[in-house]
Amino acid sequence: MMKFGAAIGMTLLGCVGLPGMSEAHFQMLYPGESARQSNSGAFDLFAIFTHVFHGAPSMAMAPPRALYMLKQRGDEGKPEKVDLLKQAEKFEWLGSEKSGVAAYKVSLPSAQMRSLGDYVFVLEPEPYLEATEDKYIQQFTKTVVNVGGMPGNWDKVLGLPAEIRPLNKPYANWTGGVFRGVVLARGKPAPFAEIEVEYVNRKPDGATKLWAGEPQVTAPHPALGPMSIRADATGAFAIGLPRAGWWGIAALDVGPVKKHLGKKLSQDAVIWVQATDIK
Amino acid sequence: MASVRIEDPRRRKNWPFCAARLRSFAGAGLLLFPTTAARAHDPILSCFDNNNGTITCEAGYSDGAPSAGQTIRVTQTNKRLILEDRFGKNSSFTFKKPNVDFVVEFIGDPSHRATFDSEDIGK
Repeated sequence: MMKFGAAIGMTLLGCVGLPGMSEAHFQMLYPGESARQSNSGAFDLFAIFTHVFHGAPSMAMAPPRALYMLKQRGDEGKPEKVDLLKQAEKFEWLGSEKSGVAAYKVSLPSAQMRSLGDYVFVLEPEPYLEATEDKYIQQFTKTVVNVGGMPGNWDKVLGLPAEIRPLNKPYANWTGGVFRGVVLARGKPAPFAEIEVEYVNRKPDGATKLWAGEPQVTAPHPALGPMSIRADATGAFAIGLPRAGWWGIAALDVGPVKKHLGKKLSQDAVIWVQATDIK
Repeated sequence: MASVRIEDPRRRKNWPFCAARLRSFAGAGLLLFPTTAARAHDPILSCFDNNNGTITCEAGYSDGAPSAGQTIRVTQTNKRLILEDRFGKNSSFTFKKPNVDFVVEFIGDPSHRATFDSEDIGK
């Protein structure tokens, strides 16, 4: 187990500390591996609302408002949209708790995931009432999977209420590299957006519905678990990727809708990035 | 049927990240001539079994450029030609599944070629 503080090496643009920030909720949209081949076979995509660094608590998801993928091979043509709601299956996610919460799984057969190109998975969830903060949280989430190395629509702006546009392919990052992105609200840059970054400390195990194994990283200080940064004046940010695995990036309260059912609503943007060791 | 000899002295048997086994000179070109980055893309080739007696192959480049109109060649492992044609507008080509092991070759231009063995085909 490594000491997180020694390795973190975050590269921050326009960074400031954010004392007193609330806990880092993260809407996972987890495919296992983001860089795949045409013969990699079937896999499950897991939608879990949780805290990925500490592993708990996890929150119950309502049926998503939208869950789809946008597939494009190469730089010609338009992305093909595939609605995944009909393929979504509710399950009880345990994480590290004794009782489960509602989460969702999409089983993707190999025939659906064997063509070259990018597959941008998008989840638009129902707002979640975080009672301890007396507000709703709605995290618009993107995960990009590539098949075969031919790029497509990984950097396309979708115009979501809250969105992170990647400036690096989220599936093609060496450990120790830098990932860059731009925070957007309805397609427009969100200056100085508040951003949380967390390492997925344990992988979700689809078979047991538990986190797999032991946490990989120990944070020697609370500020090094869920980490907070700011976008710059153009909405752009950059983070280092000091360890292989999945990293979650969430830009908070950037969407235009601020109220839901009489309470405050935070429309967040989440994107998932996978770092791979050089061997 | 004509016989085609595939010259592939640098063939890599266990390329971990690439759909195709590449024999491109593009990488060397990038190292030697870094100002020509616009052409420093790798060819990509991937094939899958449609489970209806046909195989579909897709090809293109690592920068997203298409393969439409470029050559696909299918040979037996003993180098005997099975077919030679061109990728369609959508950078793919479908053909009847040979009843022998075969090798698919994407011939973009003399410096951009990739091969794919039938043993690597996904279902």
